[in-house]
Amino acid sequence: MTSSCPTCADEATAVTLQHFSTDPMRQNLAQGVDDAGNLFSCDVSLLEAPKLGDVVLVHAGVALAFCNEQSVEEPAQLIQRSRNATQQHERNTDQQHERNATQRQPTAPIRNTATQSNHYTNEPPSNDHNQQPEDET
Amino acid sequence: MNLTTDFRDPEAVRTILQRISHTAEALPHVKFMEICGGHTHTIYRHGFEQLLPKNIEMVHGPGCPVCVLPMGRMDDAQHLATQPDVILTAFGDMMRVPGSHGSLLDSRAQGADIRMVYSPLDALAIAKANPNKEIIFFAVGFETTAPSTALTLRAARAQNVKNFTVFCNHVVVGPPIRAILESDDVQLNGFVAPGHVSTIIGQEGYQFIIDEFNKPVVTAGFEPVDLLAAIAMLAEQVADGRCEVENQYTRVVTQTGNRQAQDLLAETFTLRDTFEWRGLGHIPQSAYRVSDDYAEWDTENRFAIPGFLVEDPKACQCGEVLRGALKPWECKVFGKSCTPEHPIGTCMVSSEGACAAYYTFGQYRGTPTSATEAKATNATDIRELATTKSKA
Repeated sequence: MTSSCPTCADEATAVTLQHFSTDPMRQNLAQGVDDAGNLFSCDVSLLEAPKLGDVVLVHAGVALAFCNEQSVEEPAQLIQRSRNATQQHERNTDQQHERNATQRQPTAPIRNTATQSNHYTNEPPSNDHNQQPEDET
Repeated sequence: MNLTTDFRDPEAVRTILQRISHTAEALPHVKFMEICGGHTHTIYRHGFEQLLPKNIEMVHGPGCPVCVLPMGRMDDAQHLATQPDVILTAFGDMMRVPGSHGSLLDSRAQGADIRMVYSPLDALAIAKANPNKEIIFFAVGFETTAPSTALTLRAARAQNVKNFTVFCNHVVVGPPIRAILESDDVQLNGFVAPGHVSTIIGQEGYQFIIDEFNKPVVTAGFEPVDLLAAIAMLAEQVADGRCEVENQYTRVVTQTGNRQAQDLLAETFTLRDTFEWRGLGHIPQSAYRVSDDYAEWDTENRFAIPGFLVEDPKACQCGEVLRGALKPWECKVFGKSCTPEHPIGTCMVSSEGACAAYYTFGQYRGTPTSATEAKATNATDIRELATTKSKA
């Protein structure tokens, strides 16, 4: 990943374990390869029951963790989830636009009808539909 | 599935960026700190500062172990290297870090026996091969690297290697985050937590950020898809008004971390009362020393350490960069007298350092000279200004 010291740079490499040392003095030593086929030696004493074929994360000659492929959200799933989130966002945005458009529609001119409330006095509308307008009398 | 190349998929990058952009529409200007220098490197290498929405600003944190080491400790290491019959061993980037009187490489050129190692276990092998010499391992790094030093201490004791000691400068990630949150320098809205440190301390190592400071945290891997997914998760937490410790780097990070490594660290190291961090000053309980059980393998116990206290060069503003208070290009010497070839500050040494990453990946076009440039808040603005300048 970087061009500098891999230890200072907090780099770690995923290594597939291929061989455990049979030397009793080096019983925690294992060898493995990374994705590019580079050979690695590492101490596996900080891992619980490592097995051949396990993929482990190696930093400064020590295996720190198992790489658990089962728990990974694959890029394909990430893409789908991101698309779903984007589509949901677009639906929400469209709905918001529709609501805004509805609110912005021009209101009908105020007519002096019996059901129309008095906007100035805030009086409730009259229910007397038979009342004649004064100016017509 | 390939755990590296699959997480560089361009389509995934595009769709996650789209998701971030949509989430960002609902956000004010937010600042997320990536604590780890590895993330800083990924951000600059892949040009994320240009790709992210303008209202999502990434602030670089103190997660580069080389950068945070104060100059006085470098001088102490150089003093040790010049003692008779001593071989000083160190990781590669430490060789180039400037002290008051030059770097370890300079000292080596003047005759000191200083050797580069990739693992402290290599230093122990040198000790066994040179029984008439005193081998000192100059230990730096966060919780990711400390277990390898701890294993080496245990091996030295088990194999009764008496001519090996550790000059311990290992630091821990929690206290500097607390120091930053308690300072008024930067108002942050969330954190991208370091992936490999988290394999050791686990997700629970960041719970205090939620409980005490009410800031969201997402642990992230180091590939472009990892980091963008983590930024998307952070943005969504802020947009939803949530505050949790989430895990994007599920392929290696667990809730509790590596208990065996934690036990080993507790056995071989003890937290110092206080330790000086470049740019952050003295932070309580923020670094390890070798524990009393392993005092025989502690350099500070076997040798007299001068304990130099050295101020950074006045022109260098690594401190502000490490606190996230300054962008690299805002430093007075950035790209002028301070370059990766001739670093003045530590941030220009390691590729994890924000200044080196910024310089290396070509986003530097010139330091601000006008009021408009001074107001430019991110790399995109700087690039636009640079383009305008070049057209003019």
